[in-house]
Amino acid sequence: MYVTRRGLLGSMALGAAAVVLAACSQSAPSPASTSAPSSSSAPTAAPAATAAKAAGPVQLDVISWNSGTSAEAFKGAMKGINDKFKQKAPNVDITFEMLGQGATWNNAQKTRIAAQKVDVTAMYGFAPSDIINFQPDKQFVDLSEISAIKNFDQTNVNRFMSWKGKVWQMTLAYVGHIVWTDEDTFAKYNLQHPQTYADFQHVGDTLKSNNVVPAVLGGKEQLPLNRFASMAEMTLHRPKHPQFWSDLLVQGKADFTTPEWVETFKRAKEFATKYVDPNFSGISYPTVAGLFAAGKYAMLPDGSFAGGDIEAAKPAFKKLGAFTAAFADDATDNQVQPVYGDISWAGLNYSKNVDSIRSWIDFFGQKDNYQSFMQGIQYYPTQAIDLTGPVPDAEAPLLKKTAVAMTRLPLPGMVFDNAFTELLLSDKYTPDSYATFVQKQFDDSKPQWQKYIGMFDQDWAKLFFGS
Amino acid sequence: MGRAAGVWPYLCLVPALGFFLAFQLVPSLVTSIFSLTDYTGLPNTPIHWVGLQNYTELLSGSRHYLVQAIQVTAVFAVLVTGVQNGLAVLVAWLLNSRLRGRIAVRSLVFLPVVLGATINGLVWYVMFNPLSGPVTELLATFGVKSNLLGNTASALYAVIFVQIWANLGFSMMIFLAGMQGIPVEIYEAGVIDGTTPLAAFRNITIPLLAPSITINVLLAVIGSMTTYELIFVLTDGGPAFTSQTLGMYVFNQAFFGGNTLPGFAAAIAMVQFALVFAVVLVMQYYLRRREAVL
Repeated sequence: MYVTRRGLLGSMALGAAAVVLAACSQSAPSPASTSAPSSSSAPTAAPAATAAKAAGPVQLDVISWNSGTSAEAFKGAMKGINDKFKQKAPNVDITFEMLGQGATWNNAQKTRIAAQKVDVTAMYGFAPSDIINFQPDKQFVDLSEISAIKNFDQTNVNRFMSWKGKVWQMTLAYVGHIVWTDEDTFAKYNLQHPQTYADFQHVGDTLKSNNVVPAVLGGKEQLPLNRFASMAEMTLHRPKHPQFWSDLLVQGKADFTTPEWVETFKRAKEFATKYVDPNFSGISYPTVAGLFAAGKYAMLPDGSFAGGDIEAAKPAFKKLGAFTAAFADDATDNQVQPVYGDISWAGLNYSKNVDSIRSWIDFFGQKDNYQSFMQGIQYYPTQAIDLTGPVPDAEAPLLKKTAVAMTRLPLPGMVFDNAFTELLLSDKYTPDSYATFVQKQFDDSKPQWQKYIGMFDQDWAKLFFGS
Repeated sequence: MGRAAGVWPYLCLVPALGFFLAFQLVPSLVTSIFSLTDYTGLPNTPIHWVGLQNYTELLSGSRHYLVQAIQVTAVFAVLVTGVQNGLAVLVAWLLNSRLRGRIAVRSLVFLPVVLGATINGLVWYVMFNPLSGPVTELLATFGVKSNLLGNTASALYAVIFVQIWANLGFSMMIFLAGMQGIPVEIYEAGVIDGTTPLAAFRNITIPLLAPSITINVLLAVIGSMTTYELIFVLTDGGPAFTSQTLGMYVFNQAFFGGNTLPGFAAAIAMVQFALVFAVVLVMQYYLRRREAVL
């Protein structure tokens, strides 16, 4: 009996060891099998112009984040481009994957790059933190010489694609922060898009007096409030302090306690308290486009990217509209839309297929291809093209004046609440005490970000901010 | 023979120890090292040794968030540990009697443990939904406007309620097993001496449950001081960080947002570890002494 128990224990130990070995042996072939295409594609070293005619098979792995409700449109648009590219370059196989959203995407992207398992990655249009984190001049393929770059608006090339005088990624689209409107409700109550803060309040008051909740925000996740904060900052604070962000990034100096910042905090809080659904702090952001489309609210202050989500939710109203937020008293100040760079393609320079990468990105940026892709996804285009549909129709008038939003400007380690989270979601602070709080956070976090001061100079700031 | 028998248990432990080393000990050690670097998690980015800079930053620029997270964690841990175990003892006591349908009730109480944090969180997110959730509707019939997960005054307590609901079954099972291990003869002797059921519960059940209480309290303290999953689903640590525990703070700094800082997050994780370790050490000392006395 004793021997049997020992035998049993022995068998269990062997079994456990076998499981471990089996697990190892299952995982072992994966790198080899996934690296096989890379090794088979190694011989390709043809110049860009002839890459399409290269004899050897080439595998390009392309990754991006999942764009939510517009993901299917995105995949469809990608397939259209890749099928066309395949006709031009039959030896090149493109594998396109969407790797989740938010933290999932961030981690998946890092892992793929670290393992050198991707040739082209999606990026946001450059913000200072992207340049610090990804070091494009060391990691990315130089795209300065590809012909398609000429098709892009130079402002967008400067803002979102360049670093140290060269182009490191092709930014296909940018996004902005606007107020979406249910035009049927606006027409019903004879309301116009507001030009000033007084108009904005009039819209809110009229809707409230007719038992319509004027606006909704998704506050549960906190971070999406940064769209609302961005609009308040752009219209109220920025016109009086156009150099604020440039000074912050170049010199590390910032004063969040100026009267303009206090007024920004005051009006943001006032509008959120008076005109936004009082339950907004418990409403999940991914549901707001659907709630707005259902006709529950007349306005949705959000990103331009929400347009696709609203359309996908099949709006209960007939006409979708949009305006740039009007927090300022001066109508001119309210015409500037805060924007930042969205989906971009960057090639990894460790790839053995750099020429094919350039060739594919160049192909993507050619006018016809770009037009068909952007018509599919309907984001703000970085080339001068016209898009059709309810979303582009609503957005088109708002693209005349844009400036870089504060949303993606903080340097790594820089602490200031750019979503006005504690101001909007609690009653702990007055606008004045909140300004002091933000300033203290910023000053105290200096040791974390001080090392980046000097990395960005005035010349860069002129190109990035356009001033 | 005896010598060989002495080797087998150790051999059997090797696979488990291997997994423990590979997936627990080594990552923990690496985390402690990362906390002294500016590690960003980004590929091909050099890692610099920054000494205690992350800790200094935690106590200066981010002190507001650290202090708030510690306060939230303390409230969360105390209430979850106290209420969950108090309720679990009572429920186990009831289910240990000859109550009709006790097996079905036991299964129902244990069900949330099987469902897991994500499903439990989603269920209660829908229940508490401020626009159309059943709890909101129910309270509205009494004229109460509620936004339980979106209100700075109630969000933490709503999360604590869900955490207790989700883990009550686990604590209850341990207490129930402990109660079923108490010899019936002791209760019978008590009955002969004229002990009431309540007195028997207080003077026989509770003292003899001491080992179960120790394990349940320690597991609840550790679990509640390190949790983030349920909070992530229910409130994301909001509103205004009022339900952001240390675990949630680590998660947000390491993985969420545009500027993730794994090195800094590792420093918060080390602070969290130190706090959990200290609390558990003190509690274990006290509970073990109490066991010995009883």
